[in-house]
Amino acid sequence: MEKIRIEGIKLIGEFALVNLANHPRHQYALSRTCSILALNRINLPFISAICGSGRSQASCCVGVEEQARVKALLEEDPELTGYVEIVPSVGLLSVFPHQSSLRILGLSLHALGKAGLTVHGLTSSLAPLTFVLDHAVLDEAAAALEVFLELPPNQRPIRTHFHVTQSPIRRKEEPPNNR
Amino acid sequence: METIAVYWEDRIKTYGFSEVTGLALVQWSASPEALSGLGSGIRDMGESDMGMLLVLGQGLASRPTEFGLLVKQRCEDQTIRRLRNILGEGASENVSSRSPAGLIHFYGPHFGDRYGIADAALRALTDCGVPILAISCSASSIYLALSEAWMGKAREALSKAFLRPER
Repeated sequence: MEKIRIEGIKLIGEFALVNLANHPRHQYALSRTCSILALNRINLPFISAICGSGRSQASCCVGVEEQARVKALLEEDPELTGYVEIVPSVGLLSVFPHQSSLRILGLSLHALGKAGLTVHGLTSSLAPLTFVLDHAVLDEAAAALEVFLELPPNQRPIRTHFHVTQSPIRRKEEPPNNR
Repeated sequence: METIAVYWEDRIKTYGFSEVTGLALVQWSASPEALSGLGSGIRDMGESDMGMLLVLGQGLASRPTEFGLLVKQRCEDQTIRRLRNILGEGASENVSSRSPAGLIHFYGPHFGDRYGIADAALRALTDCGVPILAISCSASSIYLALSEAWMGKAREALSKAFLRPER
């Protein structure tokens, strides 16, 4: 079978996945979750949510080192108690560029499903198609994808080894609404 | 080496908003065991020049994965029909669609590395009573799918929270 040429596969992690489901006011609950985490300066490098239907669900990633704090913050909120589920160790695998192609999406899902890997979440953005997978299987997932997707010659899946965080340093004279 | 970046913004800077209308958000769920077959079916859909504007999915331990696919409205019926065919028995209730829908997407400096960006977008819309169909944030981008009727109010609300570059 002919492989589809892509430019790269990137592996990032480790994160914890925060799932929110079945809340009767789903958009409000998601917004509240994001507000609580922003107030505590916790970044969300991945969010995927469907709202406004009877089957609303949301998933977002936080740094794995923030897991306990996030769990406590969300579980102690009276509006969110009972709606939050945390998956402790996940990573992000991005295939790029997706070219808005259903062939690339379909082949990626097929490859991951055939390998028996659990897809906890996915989303597309400008170039990457990003999957949330168990952190322990990121390399296995990349190998499964490479059966159907072809990387440029001499290129291997990239694993990022640096982590950027926004400094909590604040300045006294900064604008009142500064983020 | 450590680099410290401090953002100094009353309104969060973006590189501009993009909008698309005339779309449909098709939604369905699938169990992990069905993923391989679902993928094959979606690959075949791609052979007929159908494309996507956004895909998203969320899985819970206790529930099947919920998928959303934003496509052009002219492809809505075909997408629903083909997904029902792929998913088989019981799929007519499983596959649903909302249209006409629109998409607002934007990106900005280091959005993926900064806290508070998604909060600003969601809060701007929720506080103004604008319902969303879906939101996706990854890398430096935010994608918001809405009912087409809410696009104007959403643009207005987001423009208060985010700075668009002057042309």
